[in-house]
Amino acid sequence: MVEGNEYWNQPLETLDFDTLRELQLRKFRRVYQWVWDKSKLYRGKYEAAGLGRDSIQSWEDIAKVPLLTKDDYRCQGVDPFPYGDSLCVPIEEVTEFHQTSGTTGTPVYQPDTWADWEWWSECWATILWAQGFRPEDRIFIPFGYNIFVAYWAGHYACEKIGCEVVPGGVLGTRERLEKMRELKVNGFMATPTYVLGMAETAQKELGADPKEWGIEKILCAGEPGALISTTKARMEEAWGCGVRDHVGATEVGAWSFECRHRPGGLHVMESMFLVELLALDSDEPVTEPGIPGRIVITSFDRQAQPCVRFDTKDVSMWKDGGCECGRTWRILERGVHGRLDHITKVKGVLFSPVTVEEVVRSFPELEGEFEIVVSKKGDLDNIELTLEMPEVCSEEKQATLLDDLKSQLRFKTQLNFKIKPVEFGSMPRHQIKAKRFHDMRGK
Amino acid sequence: MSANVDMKELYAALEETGKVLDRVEETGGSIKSVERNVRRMRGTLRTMMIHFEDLAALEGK
Repeated sequence: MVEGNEYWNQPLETLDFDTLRELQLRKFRRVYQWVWDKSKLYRGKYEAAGLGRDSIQSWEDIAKVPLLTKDDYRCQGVDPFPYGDSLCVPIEEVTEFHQTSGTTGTPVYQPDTWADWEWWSECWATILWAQGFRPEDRIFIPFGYNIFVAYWAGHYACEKIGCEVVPGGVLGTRERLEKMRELKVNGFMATPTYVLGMAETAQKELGADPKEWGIEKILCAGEPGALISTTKARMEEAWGCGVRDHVGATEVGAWSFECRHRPGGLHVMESMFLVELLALDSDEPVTEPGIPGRIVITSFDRQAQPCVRFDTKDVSMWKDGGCECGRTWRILERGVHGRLDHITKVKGVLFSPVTVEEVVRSFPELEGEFEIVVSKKGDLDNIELTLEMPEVCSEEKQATLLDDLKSQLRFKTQLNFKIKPVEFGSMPRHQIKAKRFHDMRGK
Repeated sequence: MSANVDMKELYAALEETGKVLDRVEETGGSIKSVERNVRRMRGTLRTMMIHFEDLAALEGK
């Protein structure tokens, strides 16, 4: 039986379906009217679509609201500096600046008021609590605190929960690991790539087995790896504890998480966000489980620059059934499957780079980095995987390994990869977001 | 829905807290420290009010 202590905010996390839908409609209407009143950017878009301030009366009306994209933020003016027409509060009320990582283009600036910042940490506290973080924990954050929002809110949420939080700021990986061991921390948060990289450094530079350090919980964010079964298994094996995923975005907030009961995907925080799936090739809503759609999100309660129907261009699908945690929030099966602009046809076959990570991480010998490049040779698509080989590997073993890998990749993707083996340690290590897929066609 | 919590009563208590903050600001708002700390507390208070405002309205509907 699930106890009340399972939840950070039980009333919000266990709402019955009808009440939750009614709550979402009320909250959507409120944020719609807020941006209408406060933002030239939004009002301009809505007036152009023939919508008025009171146009949202039903669920059907929500579908008429134009989608917001990163380009909307990029194409507006800069007055008041530097946010422009999307700012919904007087500039003097802004207390936090962050920006997107720029993975998909020019970074977007994100202002927050103090109330927004409290809201960020409240959302993160919901996630951390669901993953088993508790006041008695000592949590290390091996993150280069800077203009990116990632883990800042995690830090504040740890404080809010009552954890003792250790900021691992500008330390190098080795120093971070030494501090974690010295302070006997029992949890930390990082990207999947860095979780694996830290384990590698602990073994190779400190001669230590991180499984013996008493780490009990790891939260991952920033990359899809924690819901790729082979990557998750590798992280859990390296650290000897459970690893849970979380997905958020600077413009949106912290909107989804994997609870400690392993629901096979991400719970969507439906009391704070409206998450819609739209068909990949149209704006038709996807409500049935098992059908891929692109994720569109509204954050209900943010003030300075809320997003209303923001097109994340990420892809996922609804999962059938609930979770033994007892939360009524729906689940996105296997989390985020990839970005719409990364899910592409190669040689006429639909291809997702996440599948390559799943295959590569299923080979225990392959501990290093990799990169996928799709290019054109004449009229033909060419797909190449550059991959670090094991540190110690005979020619014979390498040939067998590459044959097996190629065969698995063909089985999973229906594509023949050209594989380029490189020396272990020769590719860059990533601490924030690993960018392993490059589509060079048309460039 | 309420985990044995009366949402209307909870929301009313939060509103009362807001009124207390008004009083603190009226009384000591000319002191910068009071003014800024009240503003900060209002941000924290809002985080709870946005959670429970609609639940209070929907309760017993």
